[in-house]
Amino acid sequence: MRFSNFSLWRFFPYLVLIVFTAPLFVVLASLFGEYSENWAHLFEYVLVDYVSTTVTLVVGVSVLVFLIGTTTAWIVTNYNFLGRNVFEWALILPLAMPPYVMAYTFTGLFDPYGDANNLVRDFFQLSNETVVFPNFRNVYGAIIVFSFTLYPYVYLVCRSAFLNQSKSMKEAARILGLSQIQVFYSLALPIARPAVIGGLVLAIMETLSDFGAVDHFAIQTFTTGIFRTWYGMYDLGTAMQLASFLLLTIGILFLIERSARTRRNYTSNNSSFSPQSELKLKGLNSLIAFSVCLLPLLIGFILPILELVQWAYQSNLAFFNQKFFITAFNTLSLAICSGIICAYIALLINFSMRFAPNQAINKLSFLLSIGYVIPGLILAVGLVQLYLYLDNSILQSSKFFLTGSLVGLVLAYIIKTYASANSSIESGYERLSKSLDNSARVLGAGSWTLLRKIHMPLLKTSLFTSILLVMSDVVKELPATLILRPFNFDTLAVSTYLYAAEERMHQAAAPAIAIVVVGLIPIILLTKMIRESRVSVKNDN
Amino acid sequence: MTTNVLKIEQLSYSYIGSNRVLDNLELEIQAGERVGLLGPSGCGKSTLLRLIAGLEKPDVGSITILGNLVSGHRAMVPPENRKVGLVVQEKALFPHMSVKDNIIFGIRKEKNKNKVVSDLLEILKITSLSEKFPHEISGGEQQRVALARSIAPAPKLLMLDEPFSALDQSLKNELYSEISKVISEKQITILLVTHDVDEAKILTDRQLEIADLQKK
Repeated sequence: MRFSNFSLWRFFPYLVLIVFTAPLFVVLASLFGEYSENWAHLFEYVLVDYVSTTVTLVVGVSVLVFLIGTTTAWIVTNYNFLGRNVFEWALILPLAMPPYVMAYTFTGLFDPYGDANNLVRDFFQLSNETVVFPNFRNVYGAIIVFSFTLYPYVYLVCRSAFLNQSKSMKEAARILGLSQIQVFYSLALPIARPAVIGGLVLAIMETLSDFGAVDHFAIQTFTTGIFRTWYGMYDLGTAMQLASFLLLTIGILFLIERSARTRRNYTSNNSSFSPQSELKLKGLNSLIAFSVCLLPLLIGFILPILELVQWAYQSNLAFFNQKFFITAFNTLSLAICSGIICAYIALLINFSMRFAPNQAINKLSFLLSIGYVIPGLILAVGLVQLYLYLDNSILQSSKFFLTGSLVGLVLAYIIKTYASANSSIESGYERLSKSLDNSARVLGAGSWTLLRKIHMPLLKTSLFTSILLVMSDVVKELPATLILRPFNFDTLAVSTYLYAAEERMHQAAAPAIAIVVVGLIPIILLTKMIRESRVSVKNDN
Repeated sequence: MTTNVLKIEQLSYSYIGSNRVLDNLELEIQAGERVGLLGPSGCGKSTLLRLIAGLEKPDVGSITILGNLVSGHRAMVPPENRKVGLVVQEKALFPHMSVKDNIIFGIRKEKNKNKVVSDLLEILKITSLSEKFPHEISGGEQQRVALARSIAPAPKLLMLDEPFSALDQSLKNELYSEISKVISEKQITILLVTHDVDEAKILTDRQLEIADLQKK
């Protein structure tokens, strides 16, 4: 045998890369196509709004996410105060809350006749016309919603960076005359800068990708613009051209994030590392630290959950009807199916890169994960165009169509969630010694035997984690599902969106709660890692 | 008539972006021979074993095992088809398999696998460990299992890459005598890589300096 297996393993990552990036090239190719007369309308009436609102949103979210993420991370890593051990992991809970669900609950709470206004009016016996809380259905409301659901991206990376900063380095700074606060902003933050930028960029990309929340607040952003151009003007070409501009912006952010990630290492410990010491806070200081950490948790998780529970309570749990169970079954089937396929693709890609190392694919492999940062809406736009082409050419003679099929939808999920699946498998492989492969091969194991008998049993946990992470992402995914789903096929996210669009919030509660519960799965996994990380930092030293 | 188990001609190898670690190396090993390869750290001893096992591809030169060209111009037989054994310092036992399953791995398709395994377990005095997992046994016991696993498929050439360097002297002495016994019984051809001259003298009949094998 002359390495015949190698060609198969070398070829596989390229095949996947072509499939994953094809919809993006389809979208970008539209830039070189004809520009319809709708562009004149867009230029004259809405494009300036799309750009200015999107920029305002991004700037606002960046500032708030930076402030919340860095401050809370600094407090929980450097101080011991009331509830610190709980806040350490609880501060990531808002990640389980999709921004669109929080947007629904916030309008339910703070609209003029929302529950929060009603509660305050009743308590203080105010007139029915009195509105206590400001209107959230605008760009500033959206900034609050995105900031309080996305700050954990910055919190997580900062916490890890701060935890790895040496105590002796900070002590030296104190001796040289810096106050505790100065150590934070003139030493710890600059050192953690690459990590902070990485976290910020992730939050910005999520903001740019969102469709559900901005649509609910009726804000004119690029994503709502793409959707309206497509479904309102019935102009897919112009929608794709708009999507291309957003895609190029996100591409640049993606490269910034990657570069930030490669530079993140300089925050890690060195040979003279000595671990964090925690300053014990008492009295008022402890209360201030407690309040600063509670606020984002309250706004980003507790309040929305309370509102969802309130809706559920008001409807006497009547939403647990046949329709809910069918929707939940649809969602779960799609999530499991996508999770298993995606995890095995990630396994095969990682295996092929290990078994038949190839410099070209090593350099290009980051493109496999690009689906994670591509807005579901843009992915759907590209896939629809691609599916239409395939249905009208290669698949024309068959009875099978990709457009509006479950296969087409699952492919979209796989592209979108590959990064989540890959992260778990990749770290599993990093822990697997290469000498095991060498021994197995010298003992006569070919590629498949090596994969089946050695790697798969040893990567069981990584595979399982990978499936769970994909499932959680799939359950939350809204825009791609909305566009690519088969006719009359609802998922929990679509169902929540449709109910919310009709302001039937009580009925939206059940699918929304189910989405949050599934979203908690990766949070629980992260929580476990967070708890272990502090122990390991202590043990390492 | 003696048979060439291994023949290496004009072998050169360099890591990507670095100097040549092996240059124009020549080596012949006859059947039943026990050869010790000596040299300081970083001189390419382990790399040579990896090249023979097919885990690396030479830049130039050829490797022939039992008359078959396995590495050379346009030839690269994968490790699983070379019929060689390799024991390394870190043992590389499969952590999810019992001692018995580890030893069976290389002969899993053979009918007499259970007999081969029980014989090896007995010879290496590890019968009581057969159902245990690698993390449940000591370093010396792990090395015995790694050796048994490599011997089980009856390799034409068994390569040992500093297999005892992590063990203490008393354990080494114990293993030397056991391994010598197994090698003699099974008439295995050995290529031992070590930086310990005494170890090479105990376990092998011919000791070579790797620098002397490279023709300038």
